[in-house]
This record gives sequence, C-alpha cells and structure tokens, in this order.
Amino acid sequence: MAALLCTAAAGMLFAAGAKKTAKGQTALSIMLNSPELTDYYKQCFAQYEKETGVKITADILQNDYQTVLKTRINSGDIPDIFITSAYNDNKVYKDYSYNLDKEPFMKNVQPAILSSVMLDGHVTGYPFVVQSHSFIYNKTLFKKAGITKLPQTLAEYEDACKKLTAAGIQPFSTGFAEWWVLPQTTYPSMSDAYNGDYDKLFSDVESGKLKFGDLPQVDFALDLIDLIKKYGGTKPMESTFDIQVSDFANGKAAIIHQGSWAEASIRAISPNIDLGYLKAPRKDGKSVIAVESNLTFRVYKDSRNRTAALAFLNWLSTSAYGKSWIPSVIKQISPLKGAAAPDTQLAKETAQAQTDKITCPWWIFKGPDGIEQQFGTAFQNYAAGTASRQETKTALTRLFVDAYDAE
Amino acid sequence: MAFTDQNKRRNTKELKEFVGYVFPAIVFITTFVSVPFLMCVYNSFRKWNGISKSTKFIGLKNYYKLFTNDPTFLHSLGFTFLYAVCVVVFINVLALFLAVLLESNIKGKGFFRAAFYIPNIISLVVIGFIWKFICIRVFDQLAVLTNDPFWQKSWLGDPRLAVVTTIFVSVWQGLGFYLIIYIAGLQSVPGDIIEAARIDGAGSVRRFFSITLPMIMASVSFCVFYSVANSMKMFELIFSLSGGGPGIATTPIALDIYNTAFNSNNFGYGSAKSVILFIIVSTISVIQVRFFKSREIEA
Repeated sequence: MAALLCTAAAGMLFAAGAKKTAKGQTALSIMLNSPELTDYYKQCFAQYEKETGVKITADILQNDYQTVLKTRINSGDIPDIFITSAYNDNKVYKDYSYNLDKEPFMKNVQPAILSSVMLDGHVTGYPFVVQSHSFIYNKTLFKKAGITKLPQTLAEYEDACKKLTAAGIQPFSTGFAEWWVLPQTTYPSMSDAYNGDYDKLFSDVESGKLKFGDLPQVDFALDLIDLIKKYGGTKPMESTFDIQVSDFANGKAAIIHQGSWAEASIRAISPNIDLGYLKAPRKDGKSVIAVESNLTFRVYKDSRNRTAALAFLNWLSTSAYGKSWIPSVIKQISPLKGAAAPDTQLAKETAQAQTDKITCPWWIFKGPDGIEQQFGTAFQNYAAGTASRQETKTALTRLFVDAYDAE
Repeated sequence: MAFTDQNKRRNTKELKEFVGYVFPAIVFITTFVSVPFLMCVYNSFRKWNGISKSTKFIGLKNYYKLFTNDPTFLHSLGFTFLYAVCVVVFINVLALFLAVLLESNIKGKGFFRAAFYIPNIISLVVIGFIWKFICIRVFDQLAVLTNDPFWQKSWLGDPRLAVVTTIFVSVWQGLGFYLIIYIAGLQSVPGDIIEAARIDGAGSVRRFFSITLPMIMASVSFCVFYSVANSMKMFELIFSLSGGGPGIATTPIALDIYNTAFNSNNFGYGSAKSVILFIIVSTISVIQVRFFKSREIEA
C-alpha cells in the first residue's frame, strides 16, 4: 500500500515537473474569454507561430472565466497573458499585472483609449478591442412597420413599439434572463448621471453623500425596463442571449439590446440581415451609444515568459498581420492609431457615432469592484415583479455601500 | 497462553489491514476536504477579494453582516429550506410508493426501473440545460399547437413558477436513485413475517405500515439523510436550469456563496456564508441520524 502511494505521489511530482519545463521552453500560455472569437484567436496564434516559431496555448472560456482565472491565480498556475476588464480590474489584478509604461509598442495605442487601463499613472494593461453596445434594430422590419424617423426619446421608443405591434411584429427580445444584459441595457441610458462626471459621482457614493438609488437616472432606467418588458413578448423573463440573437436573426423581434460582439452570431443565422444601432434614450434628451475598450490583455508580472509575452503584444501592435487582425479578421474596431475601419454594419455605425461625438463610456466600471451581477439581479427582481420600485432603489444603494465596504 | 498470542497476532494483523485500507482515504480527505475547509474558516474572518495578495483580519464582521444586513442571503436561506423540504418529502414519498408498486407483480418492471433510473446517470448540468430548453423552447411550441394556458405560463420566468419548476426537475432527476435504495430495502424484508401477518388477517395497508415500513427503516433513514444533505447543498442543477433567477427567486445558499465569492469578488464574506451552510447541514444531519437510529429495527 505504501509503495503504491509512493508511486502515485512520484507520478504527480513528475507530471508537475514535466509540465513546467515544457512551458518554459516552447509555449506561451494565454487565457481568454469571449469564445465567439475563438476561430479568430486561433488564426492569430497560428500566424504568430508561423512568423516567430513561438507556440501559444490558449484557454478560452465564457461563463466561468472569472472563476477559473481566480482559481488558477490562487493555485500558482498563472497564464502568461490573461484577459480582464479595464477600470476597476486595474486595481483588482494589480498584484499580477506587469506595468507596460515603458514598452515602446504602447505608443501605437490611441491615447484616449489608454485612460481605461491607467492606475496611479501607470499603464496596467493592453486594450485590445473597442466594442460598442446599444439597441440593435432590424432595418427591414422598421420599414415594414412604417417607422421613418428613428426613435431617440422614451416617448418615441413607445411610439415605434406601438407601430411595430400594429404591424404584427414583436418589438423587443428582452434578454432579461441574463443577469448581464439587463444592467447593460440601462448603462447608456443612465450615462447623463452627474452630467458625465463619473469620478465625482462615485466619490460621492463612496463618501455616502449620494445614495445611488436616489439618482434621477435610476427612475429613468426603471421606466425604460417597464417599456421593454411591456413590448417584450409573453415571456420577457425567459429571454437569454441565445434567444435574443435567434429571435432577432429570424425576424421574430425587431429590437434587442446587445453589442458589437453579437453581429457575428446574428449573421451566422441570417447572413444578409440589414441591421443598425438605435441610440439609447436619456433623461437629458440626448441619445447615445456606449463605446469603450473594456477587454484588456494583462501580462503576468512574475511570468518566466514575460519577455515572450511582451514580444507577442509588440507583434500585435506593429506587424502587418497584427495590426490588421482586429479590423479585418475579427471585424471590430481596433484601438491602435491609424487602424483600418472594419467592414461590418455595427462597427461602421460605431465609428460614425464616434465622429459625431454621440457616445458614452462604460462608466459603471469606474465604480467599485464586483457590483455588476448584483446590479443585474436588482433589476431582474424589479422586472420579474418581486421588488417594487422603492425596494429596487434601496437595493441599488445597498450594493454600492457593501461594495465600497468590501474594498 | 499460546491461544492469547495467536489472538494478539491476529489483532495486529487486523489493525495493519485496517490502517492500510483507511490510510489513503484519510490522506485524500485531509488534502481535498479538511485543509480547504480550515482555510475557508480562516478566510471567513478576513476581508479578501480572492485575487489580491494581501488580506485583512476583520473579526466577526462578516458573520455579523450575514444576519443583520444581507436580504439576499436571508432570501436564499428561505428558498433553500423551502426547496429542501419539498424535495425531500416528494422524492421520498414518491420513491417509496413507486418502489412498492414496482415490487408488486406488474408488467414491465425492468423497463420502469431503468426508465426511472436514467435521469440519475445524466450529469446535473446537462439535466439543467435540457429542462431549460424544454421550458423555454418546447413549451412555447406546445402553447402554439394546443393553445393551452398551461404551456403559455412562464415556467422559468415567473418567480413563483420558477420555484415549482426547480423542485419538479430535482425530484424527477433524483427519484431513480432513491427508488433503487427502497427496492433493495423491500427485497430484504423476510417473506415469512409478512406471510404470518397475512394469516393473522392483516390487510395490505396494515402490513405495509406495521411490518414493511419498520423493517426498511434503515433505507428510509439513509434516503432522508442523503436527500436532505443533497438538497441543502444543491448548486449545479439550479445553476444551469434557472441561474438562480429570475432575479434571486431560485437562488439557493450554495449559489449565493458562489456569486459572493466569484462574481462579487468577496471571498472572505463568501467563506463566512459557507461556514454557516456547513453548520446548518451538519446540525440537521446529526439530529436526523439520531432520530432515525432510534427507530431502526435489527432484522
């Protein structure tokens, strides 16, 4: 028995040792979310291996990304490069992120976008793709319902919904079953809070001067949720991301709140669909599209492959393929200076919105860490009818107090 | 003298064997259960986001907050108890009833046993996704076909109906396992006692409650114990079926712990919640085992 155990233990040790040497010699390990980009990631890594001989092994995950990344960090099995969000994740992962201040390739990134990865004057990560989200609408169905002027205010949205319903088209597929869709739907519509001075907003929330639930924009967001629920079909709380995509692509619903990442999935079902962004309504009467570079590559500070990891990011920012990867392969907007514009409808409309200066940042990420899901469930409770308007406001206030308390 | 020597030798041999068999289990349980549990208790007194290298001792603050200032936790506690009571009652009553039925002389016994057991060998996560698909997609089509209001209801989207759905799917999934245990128990009831009772004039209901049930008390206590512990800890089925939603309507404690630790990045607080879950489950288990042990009959 003892002998058996010894063999087993030796086996384990040997396996661990072998893995390390294999890693040290050849491969760069990288951990990624956004599995809808899997094929594009693979193309990019294959090209990199072809050009430089360095192999990249990638783990691509969706729902459990955070969990697995945390577990790996705590067990010491830390990937050389990993993706996180920008803003508050700069602080969360600061013990593990290598500062890219002095890396020459960072000069290729648009300075305006760099602000999302700055912490105490240091560049903590590499913003790699600009994404946008707002209401996506089906242009053909809008025409069919006789809507000539695109809605911009809450009242105009309701008018459009009435016209769509009259034409026998379900206006919204809600996405309310997904905890991240519901708050995402409200962020652009709440972006006029404190007239866009989010630093002041969150410092007031942190000091207790402002109860988050008392923001007038919260009321506006709840009105918006009421509207979407009213026109969101018979089972608004069962609509997941997949259902949003398939309802929209099959022409069952005319509007969904989603982002630039959804276009590929929609086109996989319906290649020639004619779609575009509606600007999200706001209390101040302006309407906007949320545009931000949120996905951030971080280089693990103590990685033995750090030089190789930096070389990869350098290649991504300076080589011919690297520079064209985001605009022409992924077909989204690149954060690099002078990058080509991608050829997809949503990306084009995003670029246009940037020129017209009708965008808002993903301001919620400037707040405390770990609030997004609670934000989502608070709104879900409201939409499902288990929490009243006042209870929802109290819940929102509480979650910010708790989150700052936990920091 | 020689006799005792032999006895002693046999005892040492038995001891060696015992240690040999138990040692690996002890090593693995210590490594994968005890040590993580102690780390969890340690973390429950600290403030830690699960990632940062530094943690801070904050005493009993996490525990204090749990009971005074966390409506989500209290709601999940309430849901867990409701869920556990319903699942335990339905699953045991149904399984015992079906076991008695399948032990009597009906046609297609083998088929039914297999049919009831199959959901049990499918992964809980897969079961969750299958029923999610059925509730959302299939019910939708049935509603169109039949125009029956039953299918038009939002079985996963309405906060109350979602609770019913999670309980139903859990019972459906777990039934087969308990059914097998009860069938095994029924088969071990000696036929002569039942025959004697029949000769004394006891009817089938009387025979069941006065003879069969007391004789299979060991199976009952195991099944109740196992189903209570399992439903108090339920995570993966609900995670993939309803995601705890809509909102927090079907969030059990285990899922709330996961959300707190991994999504809200509050590892210390999540650890405190799981220590509480441990205390609840172990208390219930101890009480229950004592209660049923006193009612078991040695056959």
